[in-house]
This record gives sequence, structure tokens and C-alpha cells, in this order.
Amino acid sequence: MKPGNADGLGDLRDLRDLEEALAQALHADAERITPSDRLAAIQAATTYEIPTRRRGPRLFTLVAAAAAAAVIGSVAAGQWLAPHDRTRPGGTVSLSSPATTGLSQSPTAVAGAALPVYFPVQVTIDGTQVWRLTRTFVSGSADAGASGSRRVLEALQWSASDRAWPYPGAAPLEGTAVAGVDVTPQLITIVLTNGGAQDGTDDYRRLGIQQLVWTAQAAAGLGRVPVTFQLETGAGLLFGRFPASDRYDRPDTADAAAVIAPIWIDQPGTEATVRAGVVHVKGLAAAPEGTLVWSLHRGDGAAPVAQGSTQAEAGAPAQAPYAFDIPAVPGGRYRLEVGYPSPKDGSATGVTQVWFTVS
Amino acid sequence: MTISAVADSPGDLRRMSADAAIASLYAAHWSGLVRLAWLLVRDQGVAEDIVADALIALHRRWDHLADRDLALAYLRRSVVNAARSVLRHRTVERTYVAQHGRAITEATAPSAEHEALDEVGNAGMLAALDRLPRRQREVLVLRYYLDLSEAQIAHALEIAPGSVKAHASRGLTALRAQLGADPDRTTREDR
Repeated sequence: MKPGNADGLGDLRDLRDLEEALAQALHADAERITPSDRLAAIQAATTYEIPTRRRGPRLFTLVAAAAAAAVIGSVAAGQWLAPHDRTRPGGTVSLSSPATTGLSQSPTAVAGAALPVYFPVQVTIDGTQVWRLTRTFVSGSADAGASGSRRVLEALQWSASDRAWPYPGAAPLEGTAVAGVDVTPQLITIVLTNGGAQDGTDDYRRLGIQQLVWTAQAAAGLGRVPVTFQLETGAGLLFGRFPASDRYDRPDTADAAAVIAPIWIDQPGTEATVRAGVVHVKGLAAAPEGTLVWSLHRGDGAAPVAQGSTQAEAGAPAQAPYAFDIPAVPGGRYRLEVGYPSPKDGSATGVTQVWFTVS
Repeated sequence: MTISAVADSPGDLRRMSADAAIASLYAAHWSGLVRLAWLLVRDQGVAEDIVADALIALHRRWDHLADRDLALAYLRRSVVNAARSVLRHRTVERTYVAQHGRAITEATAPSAEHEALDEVGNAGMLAALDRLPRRQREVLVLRYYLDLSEAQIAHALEIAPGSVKAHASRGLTALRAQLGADPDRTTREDR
């Protein structure tokens, strides 16, 4: 099928003009967008078998109520490679979410790569407040070709920042900064300015370690590479309790429920800005029978401006994808809450929330 | 139907691990595939979702892929199929809106920026393209944006090469008819 040889179009010159004009129009239209970088998100999904909405069997199953003490442990020592990619802080991380910057009418692009970031959220499950990790994607200043260490450093900086801790009281990592990162295929080394807070329960402090482990492994995109720590103070303990030089890993899937929140909201991303109109929501949930309830609030408002229910593709213990649209959302700042109806009384429980702006 | 190995596949995919292959395909084709999806669904966020899901699905099947040299062709097919699914969903949504009021229609109307962009160049051609039947539009986009051969288009759309030629011919005829009796004036004006 070469230009000008289609049947029944009459004059070949006219046809060639039409074909050339069509090709030019398509290329010009395609160039109007600049795709954002989602390599980190794709790698995170493939590395940890996080299911997409079109997937069948759930590989990332959650089994509830595993002992928290089993969550973190040393892993078999791997071979140490000479540091090749040590990175010190320097970049900045913005909070716009590449996953939701669908600026189909604007050539505005997200400059940096999408970085997966984990941070603790307070979740109420059947009347008991617990801390769990949730995930979001942020846009770093490093582009897709940046070194693994640079990407991991940016993700860790966001994870350890105040923005990841909108709760009263001290965060596990309050007063602690990520000073550097070294990534090899065998080991990720995180350099912290100090050993972190000394107070709080062991479970609470373990979550601080898991926050860094999950973020570093996901941003590196190399699989479950063990993570170890160095403290600039020269101290040997994290949070006054855990040996910094141990090698830490995320838990096996059977124990993951003790660490991660039952509901993840991937889109809209944390502090994302989306266009007015239909707001697309999607994420992962481990909810009984897969039933979810959601509510949209304007600002801090208690009364929802929209609410509804939806169904994940599978029920707990599977962590299954869900997606729904909220139509006709006007401009403003919003808080979206997604949870599941309590088997006890039907009230929303396991609620995770995300703040975003509609412009 | 057979299709020759994709010449523009990055590196030697046959010997790559799934992780390396996805990273390589991403580096070489992410932007192009997202733009292809954009041309089909007109929503950048959805277009990126489609391509990301296609890459993740390919990663999952990598060890069982019959011919890794055709990875890019599989990706294109996945993108076209997913875009078609999105458009079907959108049709249902529009039907719902038509039955339940104007709110969503107003909320999803083109922005002022979009309308302003449409005022300049190529707008007539793209509007005419959007009015074509789905299959004709897909064939023309794959042919004139990606510059694919008949065999490659046939593989992507899972149709016979002869059907590709027929859809292309009908699509071009319809485009020319829509653009008016004087194709010289219409097409050149829009360049």
C-alpha cells in the first residue's frame, strides 16, 4: 500500500496530496502531547506483580494478621559490589502526579520520571486505629535516563518528607534526612543523617524502616534487593532498636497485610492536579468481597459532595484493581476517601484518603 | 498470516530477560505508542494507561512469548485493542449522559485551549478522520502515523491484508468526500 495506489480515488496527484496532508495532520496532532515518564511505575508493577485492572489471577495476595515481628528480618547476606553509583541529595521532587496529568489539550509535560513512593497512613479497621503503608506516584526531577541511585534518592526524600506525614504527632522519620543512596544489583545502601526517633512502639518504628525499604526497592526497579543502612552519626541502631547494618526486605506476600493499607488510591495521585470534568479513580484494594465505598469532600468538609460504591475485581485476601469515575467535578481542592463497608455494621472502614486539586 | 520480524525492535530481544526487554521497549517506543493511543482515544492519561498496561502484560507473558522479535507488534495490537475497548466504554457513557442530563457533557467539553488549537491547521482533516468508521480510522492512523506496511497493520488489527487495503481505500475516499470537492484547497490550506 504505497501512496497513490489505492483504488477508485481518481487522480493520483490529488490522492498523494490527501495522503501527505493526512500524515502531516496525524504527526502534528501526535506531537501536541508529551508523554510523561512512567517507567518507574511500570517497573514497580512488574517487579512486585501488582495486578492491573485487566489481569486475571491475583499474584499479590494478602493474608491477614501475620505477626508483625515476622515482617522485618535480616536476609541472607549477598555479595557486596564496589559502590558504583553513590548519589548525594541535590534534586527536588514535585508533587504533581504523572499518572494523572492527562493534559490532552496541552503540550505541558511532566519533566521528571514517575517515582513510586510509600508512606504511612492511619487506617481505622473495625474500630482500631493502625498504621499501614500506602503508595503514590510522584514526579521527580530526574528524567528516565537518570541513574538508579538518583531516582531512589528522590523517592526516599519525598517519602521521608513532612508532606508524607499529615498527621498529628511525630513521624517515624521526623528529624531524619536521607543523606545518600548507593544502588547495586545486590544491595541498596541508604545513608541517613541519624537513627530516627527513639520513642513509639516497635511496630510503629518497623513501619518507618519498611517505608524506606518499599520505596527504595520500588524506585530502583531491580526486584527485592536487600536494603541496609548507614548512619552519619556513626551510631549502629535504627530507632534505637534495630541494627542499621542488617539487611532488610519487604515481607513475603503472606505477611504483607501487616504492613500495607487495605486500600491504595493510585489515581488521582497525592496532591495531583486534574482537569475539571470526569475524575478517573483507580487503585488496588483488599476488601471483603471486593465491595468498596467512596466519598468526595470539598476541602476539609465533613459532608461529601459526591459518594458511591464500586466493586474491585476480586475480594480479600486478593489485592485487586478497582476503578470508577466521578462525573462533573468542578474546580477546587478535594479529599477523596475510599474504604469498604464493615462486616460488623456497614460503616466505612479501612479508609484511605487522597488530596487533589481540580482546575 | 505471517509477518516478518519487526526491524525496529531495540537490541536483541530474544536473549533479554523480561525486565530488560520491557526497559528496552519502553526506551525505544513508549512515546510513539502513547501518541498512537492518543490519536485513537484523545486522552493522554488514558493513552498512557493503555500503553503501560500493555507493557506490564507483555512482561507477564515474556517467558512464554512465541516470538520475541514480534514484541513490538504485540504491543501495537494490545494498544489498538485497548483503545477500542475505551471507545466502546465511552459510547456507553455518552448514551448514559444523553439519558441522564447535561452535566457530564458540559464537564467534558473541549477546553478553550483545545478549541483555540483546533482553529489552526489540520483541524478539518482530523475532524473528518474522527467521523470515519472505527476500522477505517484505525487503518489510516497505523498507515499514515506509524507508516506500517499492510502486513503489519493486518497483524495489529487481526484482519486480512486484503481487508487493510479495502479499509484504507474506503477511508481515503470518505475523507476526500468530507473535505470537499476541491481537495487541493482543503488539504493544502490545513498544512
